[in-house]
Amino acid sequence: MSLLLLLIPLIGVGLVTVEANYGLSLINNIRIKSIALTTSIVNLIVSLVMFILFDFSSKQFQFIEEHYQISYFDIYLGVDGLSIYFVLLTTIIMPIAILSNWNSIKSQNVLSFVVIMLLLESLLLAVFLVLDVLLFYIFFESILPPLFLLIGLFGSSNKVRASFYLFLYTLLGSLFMLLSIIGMSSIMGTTDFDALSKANFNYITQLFLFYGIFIAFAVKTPVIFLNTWLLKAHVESPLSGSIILAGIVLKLSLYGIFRLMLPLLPKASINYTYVIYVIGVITILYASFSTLRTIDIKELIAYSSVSHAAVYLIGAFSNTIQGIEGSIVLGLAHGFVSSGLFICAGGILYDRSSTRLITYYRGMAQVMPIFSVLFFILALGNSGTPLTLNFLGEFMSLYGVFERMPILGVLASTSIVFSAAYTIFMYNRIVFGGSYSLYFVENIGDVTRREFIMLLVFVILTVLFGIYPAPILDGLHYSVSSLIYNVN
Amino acid sequence: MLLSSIFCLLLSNALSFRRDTAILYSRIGIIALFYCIYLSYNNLFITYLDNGIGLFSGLFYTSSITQVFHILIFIISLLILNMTGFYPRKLISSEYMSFSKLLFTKLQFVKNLTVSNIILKKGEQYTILEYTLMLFFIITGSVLLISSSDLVSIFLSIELQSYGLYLLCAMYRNSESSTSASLTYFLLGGLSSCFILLGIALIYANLGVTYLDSFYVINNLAGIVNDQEITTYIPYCLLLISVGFLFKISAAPFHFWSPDVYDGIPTIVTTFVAIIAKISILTLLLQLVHYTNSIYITTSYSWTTSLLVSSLLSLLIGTILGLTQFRIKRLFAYSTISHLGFMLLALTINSVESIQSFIFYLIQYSLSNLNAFILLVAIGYSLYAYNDKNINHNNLIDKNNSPIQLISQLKGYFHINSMLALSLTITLFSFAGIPPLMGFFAKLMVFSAALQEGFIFITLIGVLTSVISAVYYLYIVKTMFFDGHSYTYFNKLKDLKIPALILQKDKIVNKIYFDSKFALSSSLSITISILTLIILLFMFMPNEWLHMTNILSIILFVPSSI
Repeated sequence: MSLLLLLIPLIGVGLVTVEANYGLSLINNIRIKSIALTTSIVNLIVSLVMFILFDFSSKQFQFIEEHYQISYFDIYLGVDGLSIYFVLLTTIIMPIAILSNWNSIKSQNVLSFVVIMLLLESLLLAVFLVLDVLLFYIFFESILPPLFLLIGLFGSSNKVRASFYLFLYTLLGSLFMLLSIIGMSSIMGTTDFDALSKANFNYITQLFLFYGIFIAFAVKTPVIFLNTWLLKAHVESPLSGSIILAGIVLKLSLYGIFRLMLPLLPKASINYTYVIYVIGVITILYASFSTLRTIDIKELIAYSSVSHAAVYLIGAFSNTIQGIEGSIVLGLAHGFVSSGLFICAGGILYDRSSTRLITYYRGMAQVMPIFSVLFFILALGNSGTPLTLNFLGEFMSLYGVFERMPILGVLASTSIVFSAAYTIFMYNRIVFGGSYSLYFVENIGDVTRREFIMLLVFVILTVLFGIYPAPILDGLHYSVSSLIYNVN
Repeated sequence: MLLSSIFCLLLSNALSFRRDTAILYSRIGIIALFYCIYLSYNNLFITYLDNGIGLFSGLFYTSSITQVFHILIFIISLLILNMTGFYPRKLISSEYMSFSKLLFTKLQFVKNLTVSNIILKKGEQYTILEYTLMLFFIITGSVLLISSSDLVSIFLSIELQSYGLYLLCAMYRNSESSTSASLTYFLLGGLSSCFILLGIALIYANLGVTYLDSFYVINNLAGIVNDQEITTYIPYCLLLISVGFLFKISAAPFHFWSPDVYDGIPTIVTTFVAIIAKISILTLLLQLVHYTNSIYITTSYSWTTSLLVSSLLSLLIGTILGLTQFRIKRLFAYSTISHLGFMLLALTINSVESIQSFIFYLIQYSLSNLNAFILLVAIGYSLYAYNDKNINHNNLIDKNNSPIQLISQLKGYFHINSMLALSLTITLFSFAGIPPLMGFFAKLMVFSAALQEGFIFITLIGVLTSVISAVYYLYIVKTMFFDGHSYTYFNKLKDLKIPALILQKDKIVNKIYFDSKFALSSSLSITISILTLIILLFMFMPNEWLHMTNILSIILFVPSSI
């Protein structure tokens, strides 16, 4: 079934190309897009079936598929309690990402857009599904070319610089991870997760491996000084690119921490926790303050992503069950909420008014009531208000952090206050703030059905799991408890 | 076989007066190369091949490694000949495309002078009769060079190869730039030959041997008895020889000629010059390094250290100077230099794993470099039907022979022919070492071998330079995908109908009209697609390649065990 998940988007690519051979007329474009959407929805259904069949009382890998005949670097797939949620996140977000740019892609580019999206889905799922360090690296890197082309082909004015930043930053970081992975495989003679997790590297080796891997994930998370690419890429990329970046690509580092750092290099992770915490807390403070003075809506959401990413980064290293579960929950919640906010800002508002600056917006509640309500719930989610999934994640991560290092935990908790401040600031300026903006000569319409469905999915997921998080947390308990390292 | 086909070609060249038979010669050449491949493949099954078999009283020898590289050279030159052996473009008509019609009818175009200028426009390569012949001389030189086992035969075959290359560059008599490039190449190549000759002479003067095996024996014995005179003397001789070789493969401190030469000569020739000479010389270096870098030598100085320095410099220079290039063939020259850095690194480490990675790197790089150049040629062909609005592009020197010279000429090419653009992108990403493409695995193996032997500093340099070099590969991709293009389809061609007659037993059955949709000819498109698919899907079928390289490197280390 895991192989099926990877193959379905590729089959979609094949169908789409066949369809495109009949020329790129308007009707054909719609058909191409529908095929892509259908494929990704089928993938969603498959992953849901997988989730239902998943046995949460086992910490072994499930749905394992090995294909030794195909390849020397054997294709070795499977899921466990951690990766199933990331797989679900990917399959939920991808259809919405395809839907989000439904009308804004020029007709001659539809084919390349759709192919890139389906390819990305396959590669992203592959990252979460493979059970081999080298394959993890291969797919981790191979999402770069499609993302590069996606941003470059469909992005806004400064797209070239954004795509270069994304590519080069990530490539530089992950090549160090490659060196660490080579080191691991030359010491152990294997690149299999299971076999490696039974290894016990000596402390000095662990430190060097840790540096290499941490550089890669620090770029991907991103932490302070390495966050330039994220802002550029989020702001300039098309809506679907922003959604994928914020929703899934940023979670790759979180997933990588649970796969590569905590189980394989426990001593180094424990001893270097304080370094990561200091970096994380500085990132939170820096990102929050920067967010407060940002006036570009997309950039604001991107900056808030940096701050939230730092929260789940330090949560993941807390070595407590609450902290680690909280970081995963926050990762999922952030995937939903920031994607939703990107749709609000970069999609709905930008499509109607062609500007991303808060300054030009005012009083949107008067003309777009439904939008305002949905936007409000998502904004509340972003600021971590109770009854949303974000609150849960943020609370649990910060709890874990506090338990591990109280002072830094207190500093990290400022993120809640700050996120409330900048989110409400943004929401207030856009939706209220007096009468309808003078800059708008014409009236603009409320959300269409397509946009409503996209936002509604995110809102429902956020609120539903915020009230009843058991489906996520119950599944996590067993896998997470095996990540805890006993210092004694 | 090769020799006899050269003689045949020589003879027929002298006899023939017609210019258009150049294509015929190319096709004959292709057939000859097929036969050569078959012969070398057959030779692989000789029992004692692992230990190496001396030929011609020890002037040459053959082993599995030489045979494999012979096959590689034959395949690559076959693909290069493929570019001149067939017309580059074809017309497509659905009426004529059915199988029965293709088999049983004959198509004849009605002559139409107004459009034939554009449609039949072609470079000079189709009118040069001696092209195939020259190619065969070079191939002979490099094949002999690979299997040389005597200093004299090394020098002779390297000269045979080099002279062929100089002449090949100068073969386009009407092109000023290619003549000047050829002169540059000749002068600097002659200089490097002097170095090689000096090194050989010094070895002969001191040791009295030219035969490589005896040289290796003396070298190792001198190491055991710790004869200071010889152990300090030999490395310097080898250093001189290696300077010559590095000159010829344009590794870093001696790289200055290569961007100029690559840029000056026509693209089809560049393909050949850039690939074949490197394969043969690097394979020879492999043997030389392996047998003289043995553990018995106890001096403080080993000549392979200089190869390591050259590798470091190649990595740095190839990446950093490449950043400022705006002419695409110069850029490829610099990218080749930086890849040579990786190959020399793997060569110098000289462990089983690194030799494996070296062989794999060499093979994959030759194939993807070939693909990149064929793509350049193909893109040039496909742009014949377009009018370039950018005036700068129309005034380029020697535009007829190498149509694509500037990177900016590729602007927006994705919107003209997306498949060619995608293939070039895949190739470039493979150069940059992005997984899951073939270039990544080669780099992975080199890094892994280097880390295992403790070359940490140069590995870090390799990591940094491969990020920096990604910038210029990305720049090409960006130019192709993100910019708008300045090309317009020729007005004349827009609603042109090209009449053609379908004949059946010399009777006109039907008259059809081709609309002017040009496609690349099948030979080009098949070559490109196969190479690109190899690069793209390597991950799913690496077994054969990796096992082959592994076995070769093991054979080099423990010859008799297999």
